[in-house]
Amino acid sequence: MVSGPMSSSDLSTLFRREHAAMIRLARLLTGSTVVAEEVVQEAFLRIHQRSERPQNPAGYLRTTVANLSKGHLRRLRLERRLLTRDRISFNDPELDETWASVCRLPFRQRAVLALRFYEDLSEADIARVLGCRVGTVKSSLHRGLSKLRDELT
Amino acid sequence: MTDIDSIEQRLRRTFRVVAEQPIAPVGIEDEPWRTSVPPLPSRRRLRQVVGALAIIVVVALVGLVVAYGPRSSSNSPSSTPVTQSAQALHAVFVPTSPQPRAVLVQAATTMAARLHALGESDAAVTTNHGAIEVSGRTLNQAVLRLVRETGAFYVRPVLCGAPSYRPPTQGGTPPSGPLPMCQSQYALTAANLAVNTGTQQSANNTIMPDPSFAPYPDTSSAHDGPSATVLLPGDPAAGAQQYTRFVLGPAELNGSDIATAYAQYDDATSSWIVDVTVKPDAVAQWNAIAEQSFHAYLGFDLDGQVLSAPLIQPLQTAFTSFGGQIQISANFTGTEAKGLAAVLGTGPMPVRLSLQSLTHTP
Repeated sequence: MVSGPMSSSDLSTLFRREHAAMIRLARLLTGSTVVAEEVVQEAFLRIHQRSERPQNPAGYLRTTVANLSKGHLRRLRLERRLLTRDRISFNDPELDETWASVCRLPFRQRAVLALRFYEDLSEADIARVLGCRVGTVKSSLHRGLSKLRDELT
Repeated sequence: MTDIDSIEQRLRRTFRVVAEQPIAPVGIEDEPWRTSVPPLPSRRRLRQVVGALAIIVVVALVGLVVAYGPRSSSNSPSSTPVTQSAQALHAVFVPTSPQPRAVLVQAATTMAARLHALGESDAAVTTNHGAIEVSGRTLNQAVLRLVRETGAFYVRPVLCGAPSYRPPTQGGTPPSGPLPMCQSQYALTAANLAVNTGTQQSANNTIMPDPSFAPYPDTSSAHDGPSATVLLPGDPAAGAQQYTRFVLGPAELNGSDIATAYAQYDDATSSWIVDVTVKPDAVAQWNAIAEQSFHAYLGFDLDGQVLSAPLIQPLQTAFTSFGGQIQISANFTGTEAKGLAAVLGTGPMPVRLSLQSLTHTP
């Protein structure tokens, strides 16, 4: 079956339904609202530019957001300014401490933790979003959690 | 094992709070495919583009030789910018509730003034059957958002800080009724802040946000009126502020008291600031407010977000008149400062507008 690109109204529906959820995920993955907004805009643009409608647009979107967040983090290391400009913080020592530790984790560990404990995805689904093996998800989950336990207790 | 369990709980709570900070509502100007000009080129496209550019350069060189070559040319119209896209964006705004024509015309005038302040001299504004239409070749998402921004600006005293919103846990009931008073140990009064004019600092690091506001959500724009006490978040674009959220008293100065606003780069602090001049008849009022808040915080509330909450004259031992000047610095980029100046300098929109359609026209 030939489907062609997504129509503008299809895209609008997807945008309205998924935009907030994608911002939330990207926030967890990048640690910054400003960067999250950029990442999500870019992800929707990518879907728009595809010549074929993805089989599962929401899934495609989530994977794109994860990939772009990773790329953005790499770029961010050069652009320190943004990091100091938009650090998410709360006036709650426990939250601040936990979030700071999460932000220090390598990208994959952080992404696995966010997808597991915020989005409640199964290990198999996480592997699909991040494009890695289930074994990698399991070990990242374990490593991330033990690192946090060492730092926080 | 219990360690891991408690870490898991902590993680879940942290993720929930981080992820669920408020998200600005989106309109169709935020749909990226509407304002984006051509898709990002793929490698193959890039090669084609480079090829095409090479041809353009050759043609341009030939053109130059023709224009400035042996024959002396007549004044050639060479000022057409090459970077402009051939297509214009055409945006249609409609009021969220039907409005008399006079109000619409006033809104269109404000919009035209904002476009002018933003340097969009090419854009045209017209009213048409209850809608406002804007078209221009250099319009973009940011401009379209700024021109319809409500721009409700209030200067309010900061009463105390508030923590992030935490909805009541399952089974709990959300608090109702008006906001409570700030508890006295958290109140940001000059006495509590105890500004040290030597270090220019207050004891603000030691005054925590008042935890009793955690279960109260942000005040909605419908209730962000000048006479209300409100609970507002810091503007996320303004960078880190003293508190995540602020409890602010009734407004003592508002947008219609502003005469002019300009964005400026301040060499002394290497940052962008917005210089605001108050209308002559509001100068005395502004001074009275500032004096009341001497050595305490005043909050600048724009459309329900706190742009910044400066400490008033921490260097000085006694209050001196501001002479009708307000300086807003909030870690702006140049674009943000210019945008804010355009909104503040042109006054608030008389009506709330939504973007109804956005199309490319040749």
